[in-house]
Amino acid sequence: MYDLAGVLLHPGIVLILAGAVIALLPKAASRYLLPLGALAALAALLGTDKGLSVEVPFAGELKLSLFVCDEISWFFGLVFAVIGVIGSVYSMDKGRRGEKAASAVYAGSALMTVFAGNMLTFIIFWEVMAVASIYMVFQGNGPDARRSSYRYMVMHLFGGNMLLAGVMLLPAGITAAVGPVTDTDSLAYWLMFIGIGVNCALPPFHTWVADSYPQATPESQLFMGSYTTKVAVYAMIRFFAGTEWLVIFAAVTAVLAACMALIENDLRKLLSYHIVSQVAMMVAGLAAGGDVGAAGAAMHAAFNILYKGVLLMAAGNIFTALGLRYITDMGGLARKMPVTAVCAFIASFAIAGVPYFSGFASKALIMDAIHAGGFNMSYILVTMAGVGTWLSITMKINYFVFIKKPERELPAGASPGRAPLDDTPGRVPASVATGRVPACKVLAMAAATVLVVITGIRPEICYDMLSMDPSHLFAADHVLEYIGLFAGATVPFVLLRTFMAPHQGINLDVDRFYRITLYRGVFALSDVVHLFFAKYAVIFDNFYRSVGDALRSPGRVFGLRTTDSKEENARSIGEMVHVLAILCVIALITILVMD
Amino acid sequence: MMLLKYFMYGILASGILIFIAKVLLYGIAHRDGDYYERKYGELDRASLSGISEDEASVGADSDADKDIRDLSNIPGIVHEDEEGGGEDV
Repeated sequence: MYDLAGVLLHPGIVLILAGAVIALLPKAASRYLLPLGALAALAALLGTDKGLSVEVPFAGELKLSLFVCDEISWFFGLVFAVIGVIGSVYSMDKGRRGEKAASAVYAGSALMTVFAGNMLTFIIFWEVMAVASIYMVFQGNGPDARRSSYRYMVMHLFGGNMLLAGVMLLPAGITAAVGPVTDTDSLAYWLMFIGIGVNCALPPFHTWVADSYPQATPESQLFMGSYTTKVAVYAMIRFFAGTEWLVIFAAVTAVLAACMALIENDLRKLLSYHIVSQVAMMVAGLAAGGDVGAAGAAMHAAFNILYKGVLLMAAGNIFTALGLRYITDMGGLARKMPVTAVCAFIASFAIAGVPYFSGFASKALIMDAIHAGGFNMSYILVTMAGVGTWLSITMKINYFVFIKKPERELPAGASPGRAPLDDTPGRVPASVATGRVPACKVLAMAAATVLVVITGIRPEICYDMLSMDPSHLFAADHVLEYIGLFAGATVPFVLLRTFMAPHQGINLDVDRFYRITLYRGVFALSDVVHLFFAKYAVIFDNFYRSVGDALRSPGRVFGLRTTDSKEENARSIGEMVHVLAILCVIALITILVMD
Repeated sequence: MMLLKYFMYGILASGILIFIAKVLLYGIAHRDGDYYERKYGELDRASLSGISEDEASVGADSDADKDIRDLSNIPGIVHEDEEGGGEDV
């Protein structure tokens, strides 16, 4: 027997069940069911005994280990549950049942993944997360979102399969406990690393973040920005903490992603690049090793969920109220949207790691771990990435979006603000017509901002949860170091502020390969194949027809009777047989080669 | 002295980042519409914006898309449910 109450009161199960109920009940009910489900999940988590272990039979001897908890998983679970509540309140103005059900299942699966005790459970809910998030992108901003969701799907199915293959190759296979993978000579190690690296947005698999997140609705982007990459950071802590070669790789990624953010014009894409940069900082910390590195990565992930959440909500509010996506269309919004501006201002200081804001506390642990490990170049690079964050978020967003006067006055109501290459129509929120940010969105953003302020002023709350010592955090030299750094970084921005203005257009990253080169390559290949089949069309056509005729009327083969079957039916059967024959030959060759 | 030292570090780091971003990366990554229009034409323009050629042409003719593009029609179309209160812009 297994503990049924333990299963049903699992915070992840609570959210997944809430998602199922949302999918079945009327649309109007979904507005309130998602926040209720998220609150119930938070209550279930707070009421759960940390020493509890929940296992259920799966198939044969296999068991799902649903709940195994330590400091790190508890910390991640708590933040996931909290942002689940905030995100569900943020989306209360919408009655989109499918998206809300997917959000609940997605958040629930994230909770299931961080509390998973064995690889079987981990992989199942890792994949459920991927499927739910694909749907969330698909539900986004018109045709762009559909195309982006396909690319997102390909990337995540690739990552998921790499992870699964790696796990299958582990000595204990899918029954292995969730724990460190250290054998760098094994194929399992590298397959698992690639699988998790995809979700962790490590190059060259990082492009899906900036490609897909801006295409989702603001509500979905908030959920997605909070879970997928952070669950991957959790997985990195579990499997690859202390992987020294990863430190410099992650540090370089953090700098380059911050630079991409610096040239980006799409506000939500800019924030997506910053997810890549910040996650890379977390990876650098955990890869540096030790308890400090792991705790730093966990805390930075948690704080990032909160302050990045505020920034994503602010960008979402601008899109909701004004229909604006591009910074070149914005300007002077502090006057029009003071609450959003204040919240974004606080969050922008937190994300840069300004003293007495939350990012400062978590980044300190990461920097300590990197410094203690003797990774001097990485230390410099991560510091530079922090400066890049200051420039591209604190300076660029606050100045060009909220403070600087707009280049041109927008018409009352809305502006589509489309870049020249992105002129496809997207879904415009009805609130654009009213020019109003719904109350639930303001409430959710303000609540998250309060948490950012509290964790910034009193970081020892989180330090205690992870058994870290905050005593040196606010030492005078440490605080002065950061104040000097950011003050200095402001000078070039101010002097070059005209030059720093974003431009309309599109910025291509590694996605240039599959959005242009591969795209053109596939079309070229398609032309060649088409030419070949067109040349031999008559031969193939006769072959298909004769095979189809024979199968529809076997007697004809032996001259016993003729067929009167329709030609096209016969042809389609012939084609099917042809394809099956090719598949069988491929399978046979593969089997022979493997033997 | 320490404050001044880190102030200088800040200027240096900021300068390097701005150079990497706005000079190197911008040159490699950034493409404006006119450039691609001249070089690759409509097909790649569609692929870059994430839609197929067919969708681009079909979408432009559909009534729903016309409604969305025509801003004067926005009050007439309801994509989402609305709720009162919040921040007036």
